[in-house]
Amino acid sequence: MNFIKSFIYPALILSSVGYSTTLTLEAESDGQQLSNKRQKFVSRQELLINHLPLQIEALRALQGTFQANIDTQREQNPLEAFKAACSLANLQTLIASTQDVLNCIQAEDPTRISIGIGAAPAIKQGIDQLIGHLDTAGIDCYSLKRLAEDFQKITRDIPNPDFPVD
Amino acid sequence: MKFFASLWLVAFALFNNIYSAGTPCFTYEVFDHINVPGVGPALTNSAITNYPYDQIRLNHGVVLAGATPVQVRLGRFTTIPPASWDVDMPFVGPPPPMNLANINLMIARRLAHGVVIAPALLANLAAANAAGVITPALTSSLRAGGYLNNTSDILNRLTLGVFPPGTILGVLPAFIPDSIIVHVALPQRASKNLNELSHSSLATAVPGGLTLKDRINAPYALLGGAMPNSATIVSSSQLQ
Repeated sequence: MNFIKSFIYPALILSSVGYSTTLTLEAESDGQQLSNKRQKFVSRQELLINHLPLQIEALRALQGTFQANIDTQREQNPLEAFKAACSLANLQTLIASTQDVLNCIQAEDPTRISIGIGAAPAIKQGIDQLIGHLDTAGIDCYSLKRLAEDFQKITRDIPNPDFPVD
Repeated sequence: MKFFASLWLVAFALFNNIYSAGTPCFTYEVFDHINVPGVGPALTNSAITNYPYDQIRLNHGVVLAGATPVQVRLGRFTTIPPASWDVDMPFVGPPPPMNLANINLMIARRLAHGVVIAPALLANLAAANAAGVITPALTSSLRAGGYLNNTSDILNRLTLGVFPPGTILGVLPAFIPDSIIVHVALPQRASKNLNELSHSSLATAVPGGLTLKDRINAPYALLGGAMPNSATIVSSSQLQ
């Protein structure tokens, strides 16, 4: 009996303390992971809310280039004015898409937020295509390129799997 | 009296589908043709034909076959004789697979402009986004909504796509066209339910618009000129 009191009981107590400590640490670790995940999700939403208006601003600045072409060529060279209008319309589509995605991300409905964040890689793809086209055409787009690097960091780990082909 | 009543019913049945979504301003027709290698396609059916005869005459001889799904043709029909078509093929071969981000963008664009989307589709899309994978439920919802068929895919890419500066839908114009035909030639089955093509969007004030017609009209609107006479032709080996 003395043996049980002096050895087994303390051993049981110590082991239970150790077990509970382990559980507590694991629970804290899980809580930390959840908190990190939540923080990551929130911060991506916030990052996009901060970044997309800058993107729209840079695209609008480019609009000015094409609008100036329309204004100067309208009378002298209608075909060149038409081509500038095509370029401007192209930019307007991308701006409108970016604005729509921003509106979704700024909504209070979690479904819309999720759709907005999920659409961000498609906007990034459009921006990259535009930069490629502008480079080929010899049109300066430095600010768009600089922003594209930040955009890449924000969107790089948003999952974007392909749908199976029919 | 009975005769007039039945005539009215027939007329109502014919026109209601066409005009139900707003003022029609995008003419289209659907051909059912059989692609035989080395032989011209046989036209067996045309659903709606309501654009000028010159366009039809020029277009009918050039129904595409094989793996060239899209042609954009720019023409000028207000001058006589008509200018020849500029032909371009922005997509060669079947369209690349649709991805989750493109679907999200398509839905975001429609949501932002008040287009009603099935709640189940929205819920399935949010669930797929959260999981980072394409779920069978999402695929099923999108198929039911017609978002995953090739015609829809091509139209989405044309409507939301980014094209090189100075081009209209990827075609560099040699003149200001007054007629534009987008020809989607699919070697597989295509849906007859293509009313989306025949109407401009409800959100005409939105830059860029929502439909292919909006996209075509945009540069003309910026210049303040007349809108082009445009058409989308979808031809396929089999209609469903």
